[in-house]
Amino acid sequence: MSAKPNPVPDWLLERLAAGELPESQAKELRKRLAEQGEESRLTALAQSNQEILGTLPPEEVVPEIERRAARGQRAHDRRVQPVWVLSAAVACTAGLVAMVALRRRPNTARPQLPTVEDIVIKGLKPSLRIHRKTRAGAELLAAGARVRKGDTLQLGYVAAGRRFGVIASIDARGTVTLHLPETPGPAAALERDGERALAHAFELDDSPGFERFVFVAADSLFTTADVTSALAAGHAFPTSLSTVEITLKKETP
Amino acid sequence: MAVDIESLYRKHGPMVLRRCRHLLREEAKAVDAMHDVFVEILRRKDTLHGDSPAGLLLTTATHVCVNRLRSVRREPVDREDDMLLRIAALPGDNDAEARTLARRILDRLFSGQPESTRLIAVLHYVDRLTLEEVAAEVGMSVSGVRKRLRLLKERISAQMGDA
Repeated sequence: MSAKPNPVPDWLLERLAAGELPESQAKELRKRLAEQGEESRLTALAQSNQEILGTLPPEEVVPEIERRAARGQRAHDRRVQPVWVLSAAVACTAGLVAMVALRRRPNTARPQLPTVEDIVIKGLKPSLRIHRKTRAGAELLAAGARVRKGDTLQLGYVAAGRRFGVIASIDARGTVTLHLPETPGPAAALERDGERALAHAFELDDSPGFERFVFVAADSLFTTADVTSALAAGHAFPTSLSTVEITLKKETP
Repeated sequence: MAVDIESLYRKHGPMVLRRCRHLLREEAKAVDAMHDVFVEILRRKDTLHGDSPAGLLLTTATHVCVNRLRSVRREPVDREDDMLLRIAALPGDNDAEARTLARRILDRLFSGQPESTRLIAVLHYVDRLTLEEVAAEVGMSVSGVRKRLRLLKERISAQMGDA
């Protein structure tokens, strides 16, 4: 009995499609595909390319890549070291024990946003956590806390069992920023247990007035656009989404 | 090397996303990882060579995803996924793969040093490349690949307590 030839691995198929393999290897792989009646896999790759670029167009993805890269560089330049993130994580964990109720504060600069839903799963609600870096470590910020340009903030969340989530913010100028995920598209898959700090701390800019942060979570998949469009327009979030928010007051230097 | 990230994404972004999907098995995590793959490319643009960007992107995607799988607690969905999770969960080698895995491995990758055992293992056990194909991909001898895999399998067996 002759051994059945191995299917061409996807890894090599991708390399073949990219035209990067030596000619002899490319020829051998094409022969294997033909023998196995799998030439259509190359066509399927081309079709998949189109579908993915349609769903995640360069106009959306590339700015996000550049933003992440720039943010990473800024963090590096500012020497925001893991010690700070670790300090924040430790503080977050400690703070979880005495979790404060998050209350929505009135905001006259923007239309009213939905109130916090009282959702209880096993006694715990989804929670948004904001820590500010201090000389001594980190302090947990409550709604209404005063912050200023240059403050370094670390965001975190408690999913309380929710599967998907988005953290975004909007400032008084109406600029919406995605924090989790950092790119437009599907909501992030949440770590469902315990306190989770986001990967990067960031520095507040000079926008005046306030900075409003929202953490939107759900058990079914939704998109960042569900959150950012509602934030930008001042509309209510879909009722299927659980929402908590913290608004910080910006002090003018 | 100057990097035109838009051209790179248009040409290879879908390939990177498929790789991340294959390894992470969750769309949202795969999309997030795909972005970070290109961020790694941007970060190291000064040390890039232009001869095989697809191979470099696939390798980078593998490292990014394997590193993310280190902290994953989920049931494997099939045999390849089971092996991948075991590979990802291995502690680092004393000589090469420390716990700060992704950054260290990527630094090595981009500086042209020998490929990591994890990538070799993923290519062979998860992607089902033959020893010869793996050797060609990572620029090692077949015997060198075989030795790396033997040592890694011993470590996995020891870790699982079934040696």
